[in-house]
Amino acid sequence: MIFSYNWLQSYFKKRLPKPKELAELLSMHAFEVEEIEKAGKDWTLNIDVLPNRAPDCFSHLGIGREISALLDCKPQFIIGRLAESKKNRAENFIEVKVKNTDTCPRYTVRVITDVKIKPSPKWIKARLKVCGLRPINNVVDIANYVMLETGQPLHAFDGEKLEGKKIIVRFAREKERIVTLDGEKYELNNKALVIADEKKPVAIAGIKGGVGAEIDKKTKIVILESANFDQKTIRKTSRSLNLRTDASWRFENGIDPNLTETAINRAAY
Amino acid sequence: MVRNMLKINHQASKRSEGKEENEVLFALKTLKKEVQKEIEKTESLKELNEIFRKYLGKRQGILTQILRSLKEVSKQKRAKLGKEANELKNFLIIKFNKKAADLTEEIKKSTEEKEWIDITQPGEKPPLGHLHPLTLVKREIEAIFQSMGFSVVEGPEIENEWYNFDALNIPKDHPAREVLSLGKTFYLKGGGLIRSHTSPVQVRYMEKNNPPLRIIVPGKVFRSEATDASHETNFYHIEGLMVDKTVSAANFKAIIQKFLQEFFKKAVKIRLRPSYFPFVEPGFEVDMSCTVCAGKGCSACKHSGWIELMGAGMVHPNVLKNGKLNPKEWQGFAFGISLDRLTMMRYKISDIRLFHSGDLRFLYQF
Repeated sequence: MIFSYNWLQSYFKKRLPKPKELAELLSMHAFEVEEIEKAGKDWTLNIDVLPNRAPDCFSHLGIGREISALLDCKPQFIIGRLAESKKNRAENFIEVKVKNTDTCPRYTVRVITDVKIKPSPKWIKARLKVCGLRPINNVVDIANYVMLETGQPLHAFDGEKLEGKKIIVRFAREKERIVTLDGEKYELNNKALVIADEKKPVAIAGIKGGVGAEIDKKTKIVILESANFDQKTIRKTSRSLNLRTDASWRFENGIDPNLTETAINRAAY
Repeated sequence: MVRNMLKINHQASKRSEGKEENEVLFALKTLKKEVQKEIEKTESLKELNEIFRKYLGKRQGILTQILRSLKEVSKQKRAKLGKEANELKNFLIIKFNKKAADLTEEIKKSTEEKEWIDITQPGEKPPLGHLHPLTLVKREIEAIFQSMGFSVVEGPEIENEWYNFDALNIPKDHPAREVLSLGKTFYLKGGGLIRSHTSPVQVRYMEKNNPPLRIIVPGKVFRSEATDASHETNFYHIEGLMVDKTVSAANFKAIIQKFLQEFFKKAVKIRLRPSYFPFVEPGFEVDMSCTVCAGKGCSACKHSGWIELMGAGMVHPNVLKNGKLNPKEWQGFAFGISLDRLTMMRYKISDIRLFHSGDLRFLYQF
């Protein structure tokens, strides 16, 4: 995975060792740093996180923790306090049903209202670009940003596009079709887990979102999903569709189910 | 001509006995000359035999017939003529025998000349086979480890999934298994596979032997990979396993350092870097100070001063369990090193594919 040196630096008051020295430090104590490259004012570190450490280190926070232990200096992780509306409960906007809790041990949702879709702030865009992602808009970007930061993949739906105001986590029906965000068409089998509203699937769980409930310029209510899916189910679907994404890679290697809440709060903050 | 003469002779003797006595004697003399000439001309035993039969054959021989015809001659003349004829016969037999002996001798001489062998000439050496560089290095490595009390153990090249994966803490659907198994392992039609590493022997050996254990396992392994200068589908691993009550990574460092020093015949430094292999915990990569530049940085070590050498680690408790050992009682280290790699370093070979190329220009150098 590609890491941004400046991003890692942002967790520490103390100046980090130079990129090369930091890479050496990580190589000798944690993970092999395969490549260091200058990217504008930033540096990218391509760190080879092996499968046993993927659940906790496939994220900037994870590597940050690692660095903090190696340098014996305290990191500052920003955990903001979330302003929750007491009147507008999430239940008013959405109902979540998980059909099979083995394949989806945890499903967390936050509803964000009065959203204005616009480009993200420059610094977020810059960090995404350094890490190889294309900035799209403030909602999609923050989901990706939090994934890179915490390792928890997030997904955002347009609340008004979900039929019946429902999210149902279920297995796909045989030959059920979905068009993903990149416009590709996929035919699913009954072993693939999907996120669906009352009528149609809106995302292939843990792998990629669909066009059905995508965020567009008119989106006002954002339903933010932060879920945990079974490793094997995701892997099999990802293999059978031959579709590997940043999210599927993370789910395949396993993620802490407790992380869903931390991540969703971080994103909604 | 002689035959005609004899015929006349014969008839003459029938017709008038006694008168032609001189003629017969003359004929015998002529015959004697004829035969002698013919004998001298002869060059082979076969021809000689034919001439013998022509004159002295039991039935058709000309002289035999003359002798037989003497029956009809009067007693006085028979004595004289018979004596003459018999003398001629004996004379001719001697001649024949002598010629036969000469010819035999001649043939013997000529064959001897043809087939003459100089038994004192030194023999020509048949081209001898010699050991493959991999065998040379393998034997050397075995000797070094044996001197440290390790046994050399082998295992089957055809494995099953249990020993190749599951027993080594690589369960089905585990990402690490996919790294090895997806397209990288050769599966066999009737089930089973050809091993992708020598690690299965760890468990096989633990099952059948009581600790403390000290083994190395040299052997062929197979990977379905695109080949290039440093990748082959078929290469050698040397697996190491040491299990005892208190064996630690410190023991590993000491043994590997000693081994490398013996093998490269110079002082080397090693360092361990954290890594991950499902069958060890913790796992590490072992780097060795570059033997070419002694750690200063050169092209052989990509200017880092270190050369990646092998993967190793402390045997995972699950692997000990699968080997029927109690992980609370026993512990140990394991390592895997590529024999091809060490051989390439030893002989400065740049392409791993040369080993199995069968190229004599390559092989004759060892």
